Amino acid sequence: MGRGRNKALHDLYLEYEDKTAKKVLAEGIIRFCEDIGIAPEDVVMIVICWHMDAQTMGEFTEEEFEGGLEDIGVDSITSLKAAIPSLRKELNDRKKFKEIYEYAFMFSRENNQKCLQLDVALSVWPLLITKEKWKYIDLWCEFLQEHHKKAISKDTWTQLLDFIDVMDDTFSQYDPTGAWPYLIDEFVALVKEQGKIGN
Amino acid sequence: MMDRKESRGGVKKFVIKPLRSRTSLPEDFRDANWRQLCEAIDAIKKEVPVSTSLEQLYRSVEDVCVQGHSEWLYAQLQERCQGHASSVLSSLSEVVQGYQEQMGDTAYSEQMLDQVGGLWDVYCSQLMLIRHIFLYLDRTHLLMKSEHRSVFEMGLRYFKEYMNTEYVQVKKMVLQGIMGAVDAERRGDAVRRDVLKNLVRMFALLGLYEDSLMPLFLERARAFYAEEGNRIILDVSLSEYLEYVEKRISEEFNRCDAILEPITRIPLIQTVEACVIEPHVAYMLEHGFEKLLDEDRIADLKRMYDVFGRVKAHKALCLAFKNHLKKAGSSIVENDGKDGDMIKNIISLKHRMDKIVSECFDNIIYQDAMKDAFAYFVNLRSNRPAELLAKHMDSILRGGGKSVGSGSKGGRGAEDDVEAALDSSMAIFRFIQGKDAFEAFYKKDLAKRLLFNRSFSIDMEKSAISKLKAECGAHFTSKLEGMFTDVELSKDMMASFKTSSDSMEELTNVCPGTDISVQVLTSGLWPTYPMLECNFPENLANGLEVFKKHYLSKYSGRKLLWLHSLGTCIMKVRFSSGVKELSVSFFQAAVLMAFEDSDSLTYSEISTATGLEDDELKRTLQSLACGRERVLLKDPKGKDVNDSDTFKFNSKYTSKLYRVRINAIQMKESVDESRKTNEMVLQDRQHQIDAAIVRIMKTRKTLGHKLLINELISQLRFPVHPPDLKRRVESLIDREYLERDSSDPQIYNYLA
Repeated sequence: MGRGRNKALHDLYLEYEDKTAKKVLAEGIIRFCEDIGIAPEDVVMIVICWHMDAQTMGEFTEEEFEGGLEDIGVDSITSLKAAIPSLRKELNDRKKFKEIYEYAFMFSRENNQKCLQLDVALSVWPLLITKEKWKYIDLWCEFLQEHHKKAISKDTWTQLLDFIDVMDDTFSQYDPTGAWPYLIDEFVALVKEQGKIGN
Repeated sequence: MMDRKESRGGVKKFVIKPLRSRTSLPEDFRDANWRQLCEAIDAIKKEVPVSTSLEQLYRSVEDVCVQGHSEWLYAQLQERCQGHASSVLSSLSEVVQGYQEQMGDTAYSEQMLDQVGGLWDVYCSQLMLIRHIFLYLDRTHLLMKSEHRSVFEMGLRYFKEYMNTEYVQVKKMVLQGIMGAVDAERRGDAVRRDVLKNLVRMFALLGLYEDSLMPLFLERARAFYAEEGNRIILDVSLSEYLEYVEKRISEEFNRCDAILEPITRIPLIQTVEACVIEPHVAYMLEHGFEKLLDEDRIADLKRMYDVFGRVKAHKALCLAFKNHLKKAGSSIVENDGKDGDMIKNIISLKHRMDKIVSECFDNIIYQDAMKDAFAYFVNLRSNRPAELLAKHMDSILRGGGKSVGSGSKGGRGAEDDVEAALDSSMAIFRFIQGKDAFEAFYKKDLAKRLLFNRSFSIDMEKSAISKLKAECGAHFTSKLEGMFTDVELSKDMMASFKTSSDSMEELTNVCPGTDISVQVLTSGLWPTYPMLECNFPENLANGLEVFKKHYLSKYSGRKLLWLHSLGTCIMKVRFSSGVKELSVSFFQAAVLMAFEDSDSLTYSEISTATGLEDDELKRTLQSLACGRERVLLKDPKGKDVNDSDTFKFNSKYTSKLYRVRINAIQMKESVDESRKTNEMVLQDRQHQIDAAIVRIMKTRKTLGHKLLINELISQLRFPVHPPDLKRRVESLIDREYLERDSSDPQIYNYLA
């Protein structure tokens, strides 16, 4: 669309575009993933979407697709494939991870909703927050499944990362009268009660 | 020798000249006198009559002193007295030793004490006699020059010295004897108090009271009561123990007055208190105090207050009182099987405790403790006590004297009882923290009473309102008062409607033979009622319109909405046994009207005819077909109404009464209603919290979490928990009224 962009990028886009919708849709995305050699649920996909600033899960506009790849600095499948490891490394960069994490919330929710559906949250969370990053991630997901059963607010999502960053494994510094979201209060209380600290 | 002078005139002058020679004292004047005095002293010592008269002896002393021999005389006297004291003590020592051999060291003998007392008395009187003789010496030489202030005192001094040194065994035995006697009296034996008093006085006179007798006495008392107290407290009930304490203290007091020096009184009583009360304070509070409170044992509790006051243990007693009260109250409130009696039981507990505090614990710390305890348990179980209190007042205001068990049949007596019942309720209301919940329930019940004319007396209603106003201020009761105004205004409106000939004419035209009465409620003052639709026969609907027209002619700017769910009517219905007047709700009437043309209808037919919503329709049909007065018959039989049921008009219905009331549902309290009101209160509170948060944040622009929470707690007029407040804050973050500060997530910023 006349942006002075790389013709190669545009051609690449056209390969995956769904002609009727004028965007890349699910089918195209699956092929795209196959081509670059990653599973669609792979967390690096989120990183790629973040570069694209894709607004909706399951579709890329032309602008998003091309802009994203440009942002990564590639214009072909091969170069993108080669860039995968460095994209993964971005998850280890503290500042970038925070942006990716917060982006993931917005990206995963339905367009017209403020909150993120629980089941989606529970599938995205473990991707970004691995056991190495936070040992309690499984317990957290279990807790939400059994006790919360409702959608996740943005505040809870973002505050969780803060919480993980600041809090030590035994929650010794935790202050329930502070401003942590109440879900986190309840989680900490439950973990302490069930004696699962350290597990 | 007279010199006779020749006088020339006749007056004779006499001159007297002193004697040339002086008279002189006998050589041994001093010693002779002393010998005589000595004899006298000896006689006194031997208790035999003195040969010389006392007068003479006295004069003798005076003579010797006047001749300048005071000093010498005094020295002699001292020597004699010293000897005297020594010999008396020696006799005492013999006496005492005799008894000691008999009894050993620990027993005592009243006889011995008596004897000792007797010997002492003799010594004292001997000393007095000697003093009489040597009075002149006493008053002159001794007064001014010597270390002893009197002969008597000198005698005592020597006695004391000997008793402290050579004859110290006498002192020991006598003290032991006294102590033994006192212990015996404590154990219930009769003892010779006069003997004891005498001996105690002896010690006092000798100056041995404070350092020898008193410490020993206190120690013996301590030992006795420590043992007895520890033993008895395990054997008897609390009230018996308290009586025991009082009795013993009074006995000791008594005995102290009778035989001891006044200076002993306070330390003695303190010693006893320290043995029988102080160590057992905790024990007494744990074993029997609660029973005394439960059984309203006024006399025992008063005694306990006094006893504890002696050892300054009021703090402990008050705390135990508070804790017991908290426990008793909590068990009333938390017993959810007995909700119907909760308020009555709380009121009765309050009356009992008021009595106990005023008669037994007349002290502000107990009054405060009672207030704290009540404030604690009345606010357990969130809004339930508030709801039940409103219900309690509702039954008072509906039933009048009868409902409060008044003996009077009516008039002043019954009114006073109702007033008293309302006052008792107010006493409980004072403690409720969630007063907004109370208001919601009270309003709901008040509305029913006003709309269905159930109040026992409007005066009583107004009295209740003014009591609430006095507690909470006009703001709290303004809506309630508005409800009364609405009722009055409706009456006026009806009067004007009935006198308006135009309206009356129109009414007769559209629905002849029908009388209408309307209550107009100002929305916002009354509880919210569901606006349910219903199909009416046209003529009735038009009749209602006539009223509406009349009303709007008086108040043009207003909007009227019918609350058919509250409407009632009286229908004349023909049964095979005759015509009956049925007092029914509008919805019930609508259902019955459907049977005007056909005897049997299915559920769905009735539903279409009445236009009533399902839940309401089912309930209405139940009231007509499954209750006590069955004007409809349901097929299949049973209490539940299902979509597949059919209904038939029960022409065979009979009743003893001509006018039958079937609209009982509206008056009956449903569990549903209670739940709805509770929800409404919670919703309302949530809104208030949200509004408060926004208001605070708007003013402050940015505020830390804890400060915000504190500010909210101080502003909100109902009890809240910080976690609930936190949830509302998060909700407001979600709705983008607030955000977390980017540099510190514990701080919030207002988003304009």
